[in-house]
Amino acid sequence: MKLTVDHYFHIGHMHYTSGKPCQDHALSLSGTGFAGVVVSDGCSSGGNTDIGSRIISCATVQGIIDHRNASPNSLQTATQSIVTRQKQILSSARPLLGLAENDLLATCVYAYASEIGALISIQGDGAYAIKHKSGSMIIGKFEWLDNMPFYPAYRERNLEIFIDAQKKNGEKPYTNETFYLDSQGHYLSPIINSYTAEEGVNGIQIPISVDELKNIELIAVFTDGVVQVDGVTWIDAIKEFLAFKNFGGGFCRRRMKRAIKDFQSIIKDPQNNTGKGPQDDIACAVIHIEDDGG
Amino acid sequence: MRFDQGMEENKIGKTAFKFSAIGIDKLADIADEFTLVTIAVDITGSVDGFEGELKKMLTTAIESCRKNPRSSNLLVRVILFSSSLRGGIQEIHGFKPLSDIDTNSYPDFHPSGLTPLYDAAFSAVGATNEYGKNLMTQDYNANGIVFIITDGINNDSTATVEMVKTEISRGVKKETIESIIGIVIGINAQMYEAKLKEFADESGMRYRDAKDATPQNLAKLADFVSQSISSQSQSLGTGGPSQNIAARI
Repeated sequence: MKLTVDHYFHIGHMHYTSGKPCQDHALSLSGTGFAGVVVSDGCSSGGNTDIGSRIISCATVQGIIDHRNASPNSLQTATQSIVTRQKQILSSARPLLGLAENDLLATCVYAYASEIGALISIQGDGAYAIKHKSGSMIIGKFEWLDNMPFYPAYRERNLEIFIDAQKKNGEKPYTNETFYLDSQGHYLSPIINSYTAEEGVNGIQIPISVDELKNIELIAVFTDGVVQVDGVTWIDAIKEFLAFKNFGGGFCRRRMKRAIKDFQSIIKDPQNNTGKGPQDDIACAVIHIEDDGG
Repeated sequence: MRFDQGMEENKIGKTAFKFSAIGIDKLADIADEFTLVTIAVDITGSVDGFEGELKKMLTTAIESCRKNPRSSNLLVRVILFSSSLRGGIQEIHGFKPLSDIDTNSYPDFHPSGLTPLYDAAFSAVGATNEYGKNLMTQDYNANGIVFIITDGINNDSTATVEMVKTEISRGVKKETIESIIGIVIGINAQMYEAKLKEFADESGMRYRDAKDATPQNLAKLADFVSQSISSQSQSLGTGGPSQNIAARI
């Protein structure tokens, strides 16, 4: 199995025009027999969350590497060991860098694949896609109510406060909408799952067995910017972002750049689409899976 | 026409014109966007006497591009034209990265024959469009700039002005590539200036006069070529051609 990775992040129209930095970040890595990709979305009303999102993505990648080195044959323990490492790094980095707590308010969606299977983990808002070799896709998005997502940095000390606040939004404030698209891109109504705040703060895991992995062409993770592309549904945005022509070098960067340019230039419905492209910052990271005969 | 190892042969539309270019699958680790540069050099009988300086101008222009901060975003093709060459055109090399180009291996020019100017222009612009389209289809961004360096007017082509105009128009309308600039350069061509200007105007290109073929003027020409390449490369991604091509050489 040959794993190829790439990632891309892009400032959204709102931050670009208001002179704010891009608060999304993405990273990817591949080693012998494994790969990891991560995206992170900094909170707009937080502090210097452009820095926070970078620290979260770096911490997560380091967590993936450390887990791989320590337990290459265990997917079951991956989430726990990656989260633990992520927490250690955040706790250490924040005071060392002189950052405030609200500088680290950033979501985290990552995917980890190896020869024994794969998993996708969502901490906060975000989306993912699994594209099969047949062309069919599973795509899902996760949202917290009232645009108040969980951030991994809350684990440092604000977890109870966050959970209590979310409970005021209802019993299950965390929602997942999943679509199954056939090879022609057609889809029916979504499957909707809701989660309690306690379930949400643990992060939602989507495990992929090694047998399933054999039928998968790529796994992608997105920040929630993918659901805010001007005049484009999030399903169409994901389909377009993943319509790769090739998988060499910066394949994700090339595809995202072209798709964003197309979204900005093709104004199908002037009343609803003003050519702004992504309204919010957007990040994407992809693992491409190829049989290498081994 | 000969093709380098590792290069792929391509055709320009349904015509008999061919060109070579590095396989697109080999570009992934180099860059995401490219300026396609073509320099077409007249080696007909009338350049006899300054063919050495002409070659020096060519190699100087290419070598200057290596100092460009966007040198890895350039893919360069060099062709010679004269009726004495088979098909009127000889490709020294097709579109390839500067790092793969060895100007020391460029052949000496042996001037002879008539001037297939339109064939050279069509080959230059058509190949840029064709390869640019292939790149754009693969999500790479591309624009192009072509230089047709001549000391005389067309007197032996199978291509027509209309064919050149159509190709330039495809590039300008962004059908194939983000933008394209075509420049006809007259060297030692004062007596043909009006005709060359007319060809440039009719085909949608620009005309620049490099004056007499003195070493100083050819050095200025090399500088103009490398500066224009740099300028067009910097405009890549803006959606249009460079607005900073010097009005004079």
